[in-house]
Amino acid sequence: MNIWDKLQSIDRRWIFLVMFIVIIIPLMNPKSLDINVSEPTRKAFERIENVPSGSNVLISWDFDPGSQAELLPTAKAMLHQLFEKNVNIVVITLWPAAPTLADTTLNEISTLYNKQEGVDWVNLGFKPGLDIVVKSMGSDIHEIFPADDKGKRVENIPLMKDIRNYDDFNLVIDLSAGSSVDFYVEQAHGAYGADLVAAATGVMIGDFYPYLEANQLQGLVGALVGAAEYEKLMEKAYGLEPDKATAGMQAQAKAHLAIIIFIVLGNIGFFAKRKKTSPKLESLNK
Amino acid sequence: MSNRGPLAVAFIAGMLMIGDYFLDWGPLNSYAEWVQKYYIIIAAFAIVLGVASLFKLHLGKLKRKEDGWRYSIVTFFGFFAMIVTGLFMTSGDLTGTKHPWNAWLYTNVQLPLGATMFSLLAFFIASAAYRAFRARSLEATLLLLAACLVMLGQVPILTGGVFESLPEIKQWILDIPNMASKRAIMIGVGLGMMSTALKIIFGIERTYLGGSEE
Repeated sequence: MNIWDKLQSIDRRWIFLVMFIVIIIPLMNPKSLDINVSEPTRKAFERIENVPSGSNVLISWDFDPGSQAELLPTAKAMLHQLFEKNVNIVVITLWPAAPTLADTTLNEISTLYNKQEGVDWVNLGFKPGLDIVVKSMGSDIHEIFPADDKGKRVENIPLMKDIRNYDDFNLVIDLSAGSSVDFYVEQAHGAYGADLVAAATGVMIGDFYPYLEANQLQGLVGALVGAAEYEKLMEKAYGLEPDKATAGMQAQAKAHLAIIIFIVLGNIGFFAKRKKTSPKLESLNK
Repeated sequence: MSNRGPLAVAFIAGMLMIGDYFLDWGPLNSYAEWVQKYYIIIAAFAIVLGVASLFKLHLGKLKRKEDGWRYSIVTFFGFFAMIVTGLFMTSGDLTGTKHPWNAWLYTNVQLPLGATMFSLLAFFIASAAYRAFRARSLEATLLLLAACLVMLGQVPILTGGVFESLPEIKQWILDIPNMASKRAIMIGVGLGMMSTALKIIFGIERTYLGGSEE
């Protein structure tokens, strides 16, 4: 096996080792990077900034621990922003493993702002049915979520007394690790005219750009980089210390660079070998 | 002959649901709400079916001592730990997922395991990208270039000089070629779904009834 063959078939254990090193070092020694805020993230931030104080926002918490690295920093930054602005928050989820994660985060951040559960925010928990749940909330949210995540009847929750459907929310935010953004665009926005902002994972973000361009989404925060951009905007507007997304960006940056270097090495080997072998093939053909 | 009943049900239910989307008429809208409630109940049963299927699969593995049967024991352990703490344990007002034991299992087992699974992706994606991205043809080269530009534009690591415009290039790739192809796919999928739905409603597509089409 010559050098060109070796370049094309690096043992994946070496790739794993290099990835481990380039990720672990920046995570242990985080430094902030100069992050440019993209237009979709800025739009999302500005739309949430425009939510009037005292109005209601529905958050659909559609991710579980598997996607928390990408979406939890955005969720936290948005919760900080909404509580800062004294906006009431109603959380629901279409994912069965999400309610506890949502509850823990809501408790952690609401305490910082002295916000009361049931008065300033409520977690209505999980309901199976995906797009049908999203559609049904357009007619009566009390029918679909008769009790909150802890089993308390919605009619006994002060915040829920005046909330019946999408008309009672100034904004709907979907924090999505799957395709729930499609459901909200089709049902909540399409059928009931709800204003939408979404945050999605890196693998899903490409699917949602058409919605942004068509104004079906009023803002889109994509992946860890979007979360880092959002943290930067929050730091600027509210002096909030950047959290895990900003710290994770350096590790992600190094990982991207390492992947590109491996791709380049593989292609160098590929082209060098092709160049070497093609004259022989030509002579054989002759 | 025997298919007429189900076909009529599909036709009436389908037409009523289409009508609900376009018409603001009380009885029709109430009917649609009623159907949606049933859908949510059926979806809940799907979760029960999923759990039963998982149980059966791992029980079979254990009985036959198939490869990796020991992992099935771990699955059962996690399975019953979450069910018992979530369904049957109470501590004052705290029940279900609010019970401290269930919450502890979620925070200290499910949460780190989920994060671990996700973090492994970085390693597998790196290995897969290295092996798959070879400029073998024009299409493959375009894919390779687009991937590298988006990856570099996504993170602020190469800055200054020619690299200054990387974020704009990334955004252009996402906004123009990516969006155009996504729209084409979405429109195609939408038309396909619509035609399939109409074929089912009008009884042209009958495979969902089972058996032959005759």
